[in-house]
Amino acid sequence: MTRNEYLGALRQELRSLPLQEQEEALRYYEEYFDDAGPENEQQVIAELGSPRELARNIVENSVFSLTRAPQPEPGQEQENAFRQMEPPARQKQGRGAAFWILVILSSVIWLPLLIGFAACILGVLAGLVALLAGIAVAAAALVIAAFFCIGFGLPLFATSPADGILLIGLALVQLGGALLCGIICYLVCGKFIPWCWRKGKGMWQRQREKRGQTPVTGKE
Amino acid sequence: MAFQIGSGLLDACVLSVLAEGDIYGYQLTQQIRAHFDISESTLYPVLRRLQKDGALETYDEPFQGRNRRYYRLTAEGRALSEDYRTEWMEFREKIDGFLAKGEQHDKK
Repeated sequence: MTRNEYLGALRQELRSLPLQEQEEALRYYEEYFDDAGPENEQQVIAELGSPRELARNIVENSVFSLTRAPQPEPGQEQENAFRQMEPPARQKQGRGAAFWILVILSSVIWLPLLIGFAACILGVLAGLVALLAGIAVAAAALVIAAFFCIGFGLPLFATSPADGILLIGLALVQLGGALLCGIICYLVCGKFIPWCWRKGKGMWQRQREKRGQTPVTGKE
Repeated sequence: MAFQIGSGLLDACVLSVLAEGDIYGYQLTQQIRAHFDISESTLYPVLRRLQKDGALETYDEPFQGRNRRYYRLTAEGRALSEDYRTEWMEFREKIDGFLAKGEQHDKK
């Protein structure tokens, strides 16, 4: 787009303004292009944005000041006498009624999916709990077996030491296994699950902060 | 970038530049853009509004066969510029009250 095409398009987009406003704006940007120099023409066009955006910017800001009574400038047409001072403040990220209606109507789709998904999650969790229980039971069973082995093994030392040693050794292995299972249970219950809980809570809180926050600007 | 220059502060800066001397649109834009990342489209509405508020007026000077429009502070504009300056000092002190004593607020 050349400078003249740009300015022509801008003139089109500014049609809604009073004639004098149009002329002022166009004159400003013509001069702007002149001062920037022909070598910067494309750069200026890129920076200014589309003629439509630029026009919108100009139109939104073309107001009578609120600090003085509006004084019609000589020759200015009396249309568009008053415009909003600023574009309406950006709505806070809130949830309106329309949103909730949409949620309810579409529940036919998302509710079954959600239930299915939740069921999957529950299934996996149930499996993990069962696994954990199984390990705990295994630990208990190993301890009991160890007792029996020791119980049978000790007396055997009198008659057949080799067998005695075998059974005691077996008992030790069983106790070691029980210890291992116990450690696994402790790690999962005492460390892993609380860690998951904390991470989950952290993510949830950050999501809520993101939704509630408005951007910080330097306006006074 | 944590902070953006809002419309009030921008007005204040423009008036301040003009207090130092008359200037034309392109030149003003370049001066401000040297310090703030604003669009080249930002300043025209600011200038126009300040003009309507009576803080500025314009006049033309011939330049290279065309007319170049200069902006000049009015008496009202000068007063407004001073007001902005005072308000800024107060505002800055308040912010510094929080941000400037960084060491005291450091938690370890």
